[in-house]
Amino acid sequence: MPQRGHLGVLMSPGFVPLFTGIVLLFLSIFLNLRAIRSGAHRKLRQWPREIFEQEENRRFVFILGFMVLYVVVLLGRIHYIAATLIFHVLIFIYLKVGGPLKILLWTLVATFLVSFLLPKAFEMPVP
Amino acid sequence: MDWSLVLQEWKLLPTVVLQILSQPLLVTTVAFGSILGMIVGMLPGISAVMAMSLLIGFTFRVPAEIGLGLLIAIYVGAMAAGGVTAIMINIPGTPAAAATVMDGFPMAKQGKVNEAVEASFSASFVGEIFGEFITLVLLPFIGLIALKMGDWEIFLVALVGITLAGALAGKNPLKGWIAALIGLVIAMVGMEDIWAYPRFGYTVELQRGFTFVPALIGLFGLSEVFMVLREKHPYQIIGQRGWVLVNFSLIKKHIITIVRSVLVAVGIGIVPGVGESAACWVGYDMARRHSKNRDNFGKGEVEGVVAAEAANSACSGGALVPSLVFGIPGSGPTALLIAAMFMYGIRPGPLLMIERPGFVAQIVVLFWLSAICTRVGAILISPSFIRILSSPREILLPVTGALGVLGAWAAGFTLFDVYSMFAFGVFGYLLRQRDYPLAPMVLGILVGGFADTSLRRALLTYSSDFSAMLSRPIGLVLLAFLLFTVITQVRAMLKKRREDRPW
Repeated sequence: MPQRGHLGVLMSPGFVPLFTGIVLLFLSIFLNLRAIRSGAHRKLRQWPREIFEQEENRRFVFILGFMVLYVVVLLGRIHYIAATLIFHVLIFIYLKVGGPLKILLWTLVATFLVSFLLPKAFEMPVP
Repeated sequence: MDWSLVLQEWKLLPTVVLQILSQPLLVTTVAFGSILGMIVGMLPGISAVMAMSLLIGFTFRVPAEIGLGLLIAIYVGAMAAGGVTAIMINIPGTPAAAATVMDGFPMAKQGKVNEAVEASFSASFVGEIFGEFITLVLLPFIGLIALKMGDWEIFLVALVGITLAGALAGKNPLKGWIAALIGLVIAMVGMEDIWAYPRFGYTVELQRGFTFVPALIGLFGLSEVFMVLREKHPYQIIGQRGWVLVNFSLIKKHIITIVRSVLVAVGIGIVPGVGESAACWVGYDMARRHSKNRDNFGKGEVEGVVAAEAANSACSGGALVPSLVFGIPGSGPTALLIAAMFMYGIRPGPLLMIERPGFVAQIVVLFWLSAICTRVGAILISPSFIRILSSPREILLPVTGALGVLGAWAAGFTLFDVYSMFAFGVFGYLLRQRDYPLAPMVLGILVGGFADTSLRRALLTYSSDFSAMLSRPIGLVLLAFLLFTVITQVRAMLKKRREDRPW
């Protein structure tokens, strides 16, 4: 079997990432040039302000925050069932899925399904 | 390929059918497996491979035909039901259902839930039956073609799949191709297969690379959670509900589309590791090119759902060929089937038909029986699933997010997979905000490793002699198809640009 580098760059482990990267660079430059030619750069100044003003983006930040709390902060630090319960309570309250009783009911159903029933059915360890 | 051996399988087919149908335990097991497969196929994050790998230990205690019947039924059920989540919540249950999203989800949003699910299951059923039949009838020819498929052809099929997905999944092919290339670069992370060199291996986890399941869940599942819940009043799935029956008029109307998808899918399914996910895109593209309603594709055209679902189900027939004839797994589920066969002392390979007459026919009949059970199961359980998946998005999607976390964890039982799923989710959300399609990226991640290894192995085999590689007939056909796709897409893009110009 030939040694690594025997057939030059074509056989090296970096060949495909290098080639893909070059094609990606060309396509990106082409896309950017097209965007500039259509006048997209003129809207660039308003863009950051628009991001902060839109309600959808604020909602996204909140939902992202709940996911960060669940995935990065709670998982692995407290029990999986407790972490899933907290995540569901918070997100259901934020999304206003109903009154306190409805929120409690959905939280219990969702937590039971995700953190108890499925891991039990598939006999898998939980995070 | 010895013709007498194939004729022997054809001759044994009626006997095998009677033998299987006369075993109530086997029929019940297949029915149970189909329903289990449908449930795992409909749950985002829980895959057929996961259910099959969990049950493989159990199957050791039962006779071979029952164990294999159970695994095949789960595979068929999950493949058929993967389209339901694609239609109802815009998250494909399996990578092979990625093309179903294109028209299935717009149909659901238009209130045509039942029509879309019915089309998906009907096409899936016919695709499975035709696919297995064609596989059995054409086994010697497919076997010959499969033997001619070298690394160069495997690489080209992967490239065709990525190019088609890039061109078809979004409004702008350029963005689709960029997404696909990003997927390819992500697939490069980790230990490469030829020299065992760690690429981008800055940490121990990165040396292992990104697992496919967390990437799929993050890009499709979590990004959908962010996209929908950021709206104050998210869309709701409404429309008629009822029994999801076999729609014979729909099948009759789109029979040519189905047959075309099936033939293409069986041909592509024989490519190990790549075929299944690429076939749905090729089937979808063929349907779009030949359809009278091609302008409606991507906007809720039922023919798009039919083409994609017929292709992904028929592909399992094609994937059987390398598995049974050469012992090379065509996909994750077929790898588990091969593992189960070894467990029972059945050795897949060129001698299989000599050592075990009637075995290939038995596997094909088990696939047919699973397809029938899945269809009956779909009639029974689909209304409940449609009701559950039609729940308000504010309730359904947080649960999907939590299920995604569990699914990512189950991929390797490390928190790195959960974190990477989360990162892919945020990245997917940002890409979707800028109109980049995610399906090509997922396909890039899925086939990237195969494509890289196959290309470099082909270069090694031919000592970088491109003329030898280019003179291979199947490779030439694939290369011509690839160039044709790129040229037609670029021409369409330039034409659209000229039309959009105000002057």
